[in-house]
Order: sequence, then C-alpha cells, then structure tokens
Amino acid sequence: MYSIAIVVLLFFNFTTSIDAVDFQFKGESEIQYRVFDADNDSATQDTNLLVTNQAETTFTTKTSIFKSKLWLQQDSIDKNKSAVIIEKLYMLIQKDSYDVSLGAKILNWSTLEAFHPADVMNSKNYDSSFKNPVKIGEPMISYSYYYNEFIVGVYYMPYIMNPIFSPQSSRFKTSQLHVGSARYFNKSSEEITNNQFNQIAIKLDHVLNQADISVYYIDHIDRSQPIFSVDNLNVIPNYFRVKQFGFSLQSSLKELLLKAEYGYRKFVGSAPNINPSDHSQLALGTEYTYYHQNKFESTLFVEYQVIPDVSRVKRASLGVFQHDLLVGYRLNLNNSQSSELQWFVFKDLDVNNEYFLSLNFSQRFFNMIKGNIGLQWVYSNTNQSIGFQTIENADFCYVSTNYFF
Amino acid sequence: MKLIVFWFLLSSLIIAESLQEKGTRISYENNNVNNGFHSQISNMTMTLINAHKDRVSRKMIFKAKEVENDGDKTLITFEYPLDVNQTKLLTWAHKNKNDDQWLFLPGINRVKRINSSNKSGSFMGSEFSYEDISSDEVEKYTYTFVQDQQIASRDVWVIIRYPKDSKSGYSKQISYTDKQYHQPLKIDYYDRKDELLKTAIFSDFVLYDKWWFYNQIQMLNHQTKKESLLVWENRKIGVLVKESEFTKRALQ
Repeated sequence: MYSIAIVVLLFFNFTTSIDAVDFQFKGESEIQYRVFDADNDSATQDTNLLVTNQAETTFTTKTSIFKSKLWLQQDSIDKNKSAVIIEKLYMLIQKDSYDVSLGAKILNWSTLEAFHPADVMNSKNYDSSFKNPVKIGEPMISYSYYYNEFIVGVYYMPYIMNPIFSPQSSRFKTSQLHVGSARYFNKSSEEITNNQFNQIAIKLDHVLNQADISVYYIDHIDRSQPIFSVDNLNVIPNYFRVKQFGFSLQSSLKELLLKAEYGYRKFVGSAPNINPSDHSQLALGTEYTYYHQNKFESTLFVEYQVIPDVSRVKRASLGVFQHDLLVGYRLNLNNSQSSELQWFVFKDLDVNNEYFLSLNFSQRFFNMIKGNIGLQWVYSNTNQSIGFQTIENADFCYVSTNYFF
Repeated sequence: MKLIVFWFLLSSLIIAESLQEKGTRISYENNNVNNGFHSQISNMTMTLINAHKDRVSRKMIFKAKEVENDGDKTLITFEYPLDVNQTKLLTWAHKNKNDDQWLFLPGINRVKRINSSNKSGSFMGSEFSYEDISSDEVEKYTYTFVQDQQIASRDVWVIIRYPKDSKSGYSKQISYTDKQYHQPLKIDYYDRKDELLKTAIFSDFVLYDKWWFYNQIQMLNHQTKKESLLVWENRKIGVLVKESEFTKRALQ
C-alpha cells in the first residue's frame, strides 16, 4: 500500500513539474571521518568514513506545491549502515485561511533543544545521530485552518513507518543482541501485522503576548519510547497504542526565552509480559543570548527533563533521557564564514557521575562547503545497561565536510 | 530682568514643543503616504564588505504584508550561501510592543522563536542589526524636528528620532527624509554612548504605482570601517501574498 502511495505521489510530482511556475532544488553531501575509542568487539569498526546525502525538490504551481526530500546514508566499511529514507513526499494546497497536504511528512513539535516530550510523531533512524536522529516521513493527510493568531491542525496517519535501529556492527548499538523487527500493539496483546492503523492528531497553536502556546491530542502508535523485550536471542522493540495529550510553550521574558513541553501518555495496548505504565513527561528550558560589542553572539542553554510519576527503575527503561539536566553554550562569531562553537553537557540526575559531552566547531568555506570538527564523550561509572551507559563505549571524535549544491 | 528670563524660557519651551510636534506630524504624514501598498515581494542581495574591501554576498527572497492597525508581517527566505538555503525569518512587527520573530531551521524542520527584546544583534553578520531590518513602525519613536535642508540638491526634513524601547541599540537616529519621496535619504545612527555608530544611505528610488521605494541601502559602520549593501530587485507591489504564508506553521 505504501509503495502504491509513493507511485501515486511521484505521478503527481511529475504532472506538477510540467505545470510548475517555480522549481527549487537543494542538496547536501556530507563526508564524515570518525574515530571511536577501541571497544575490543570484533563485530564493530572503530574507524569509518560515513557518507550522507540529502536532496530536496519543491515544485510550485498556481494551485499547489509539491515537495520531496530524500536522505541516504552509506558507510565505507559497514554495508549494514546503508539507509534510504523518504523525509518528505507530499502535495500541499495552500489557501488564504487554510492548507491541506497529502503524503509523507515530518512533523516537529519541539520547542526545546534536547528534550522533546511533545515531539513524538515520526519514526527515527537511531543509527544516524545520537543527539538528533533523522526522522522518517510518515504518510498523512493534514489540514490546517488559520484564524487570526490561532491555527488548528488535524492529522490522519494510516500507516506506521518502521524505525531503524543500529546494526550489530554499529558503534551506536544499544545492545549486544541483534535488534529484531519492531512489533506494534493495538489493544491488549493484539498485534498489528501490516503496519496499518488509524492514527489521528489535533493541535491548536496560539500566539499571545510574545508567547507561542500549543495544546495537542494524539491517538497513535507511540514511537518515542520503545519497550524492549528479548525473544530468541533477539531484542524486540515493542510499540503500543498511546493516547497522549499535552502542551508546548515558547515565551520571551525580558532577555530570556522560556520553553516548556509536556505530555501525558495513556497506554491503551499491552503485550504478553509487558505492561507499560501510563506516565507524564515534562521538560523545561531557558535560553539567554548576549550580543557582544564585536558582533559575537553568546547563547546559554539550560534544560531539565523528568518523568515524575513512575519509579526510577521504570523511568530508566523508557529511554536514554528521562531525568536529566542539560547545560549548553553556543558562540556565534557572526563573521562571513558563519563560524560557530558549541558545547552541550548532559547530566543524568538519577545516577551519580554520569555525563554526556558534545563539542562542535563549524565554519563555512567558499560559500558551499562547511567544515565540522568535534567529539562526543560519555562518562559513566555504573554497570547498568540503561541511560547513558548504553553508549558509554561509543566515544568518538570526527571531522566532516558538508558540500551544499 | 526676571520677566525677560521668564518670557525667554517660556518661548523656548513653546518652540521645543512645537519642534517635537512638527517632527511627529511629518513622520506620521510620511508613514501615511507610504502605507496602502498591501503587500510586496522582492529579491534581496546583501553584500558584506570588510575594511579591506573584500566582499561576501547573501541572497534572500523578501515578502511583506501590511496589517491593519499593527506593524507589517515580513518573511525573509534565505537562498545563498547554500548552507542556509530555505532558512526563514518570520517577523510580526508591532507598533507598541516587541516584535514576534521566528526562525525556521530546515535541517531539523523546526520553528524556533527568537527573543526580539535585544535588537542590536547583527543580522547575518552584516552591519545591519535586527532592529534595522525589522519593519520601521512610526510609533516606535519620539521625534524632534531640526531643520529643512538640502542633500544632493534634494529638499529634506532633518528629524531626530529617539527609540522608545530601552533595549534599542541606539540612543537616537538623525533622519534626512526626502520631501518628494517621503522616504529617508540618509540616517545617522548613534550608539548608547551617543557616539556616531553607523550611517545608512538610501538610493535607487523607483516609483511603484503611487509609492516611492528605495532599492539600495548602504550601511557604513564608522567605528569598524566595515560596510554592508542591501539591494532589492524584481520588486512587485500589491501582489497577493497569502495570509497563511506569514504563520509559523507554514514555515515548515
């Protein structure tokens, strides 16, 4: 069914291109050289060259807009890391007071930099980036109605896209066991086998006195927090039907930008021997930007996230980030090369002496090439396979060049 | 003697008030003349020129829509350099409060609110600040008329305008407004220490229907000797721009 939908949308793409009054193409090719700490695991590679490519097209006609975006990843050594992802493939009809879209889309409802309780749509490629995994476009019909400073969005998603987990040969693997195919559960022990499930979401956005306020309701198969089980020496990610409601907020208060995201998840489904607990998730953050006399811009980030109403053990099983503090700093030199230095430190508040550090410096060359150099480092002295501990052996430094065309 | 001093002070006060009123009246009249074009679309090129005269260019698409009883809504879509292609800056200017501003980051498909309280930050590394780029609402200043003058054989009003917002990067701006175009020919910007910081020179005036628009601003920073050039091309006035395009949802 998904293949048929892609063919239909590509047909629309072709017919739209004939009638197009405007066409835009943008692409990006990244070559990243990574060196990991040796892990004494013969299944993994400690040094590799990773190539990712992105291509995006936009056809605009008098009546509609057609967008497509493809993401590809290839490793020089490990063929298991190869991935092709459709991020966007949709047609949009935009009127003065409403718009309608049909096709695969990525939604981003987050307001914070690191923690995203409200941004739970779309499956992800967990083998792409630890901090910001690439999202996979989900087929949907969406309708947005605009009235003054209010926007109402309604979404219908009939097909569940499978997430991508790191293969056994990846340094980002979170288990020594092979990760099997994802399983989706509707009601109690009722497994969805053909990925077809009627998912809906409603979101109301309002701009009020320097604040963006959003409230939402989602009834879907939640892909934000897989619950793992072991079956025949395979780790199986289990996903359940969840009814989630919550809000997000971005507000200016003097020089500060205040941010909040909240979600309450009520699990409708369960699986044999797995009974996920209903819980809420709250993230708070603030951002302060200081403009130096020499045009430099310093931005300080502080963010906090907690899942308050489940036990510490259960909370730890829900994901890498569950009760954490983030402190980050970005220095934008505001020069013609857009030079930028940033670092982030995450602290797991449930475990002593557990930190995650990310450092990056980027600079543009010749208007079409961007260079990056950085590192990612986890410090943990616990022996549990939860939280940051799952990637403790994946410390690495990198050099990359991005070519834009 | 006391009576003479009293009359001198009183007449000075009356003259000062009338200069403020005159400055305010002219500024509001200019604003009224320049309003009513409904919307506009244009291509913008910004060139950054350093003290050694090396040049770097940025290209953008500029869309603006007038809003009744409030500031304009503007949407700037960056096209070049290519790493910022399709990054978008949406601004809802307001007459009597801080503007609402959002930045769309296409790499992560995220719309981020920008705190617009500090206006002095550099716009894309140029000599223009966010304050210079945002919609120039007449209500954001108080005015004092200085004199009638001529610049390059053109008649201008010289008016000092003082930003009402204490977070503005400027203590005052001296505007030289053309009496025919009802647009500035030159603005001198003074920093918070009241020292001359920058000068903007407006040129390439073109009449669109009944409105005069400048198509070039040269911004000169007197303290760093750097300059930036902002050029508008293919400007279309009154074209129908959809209201929904100026929403943060539509940025994605």
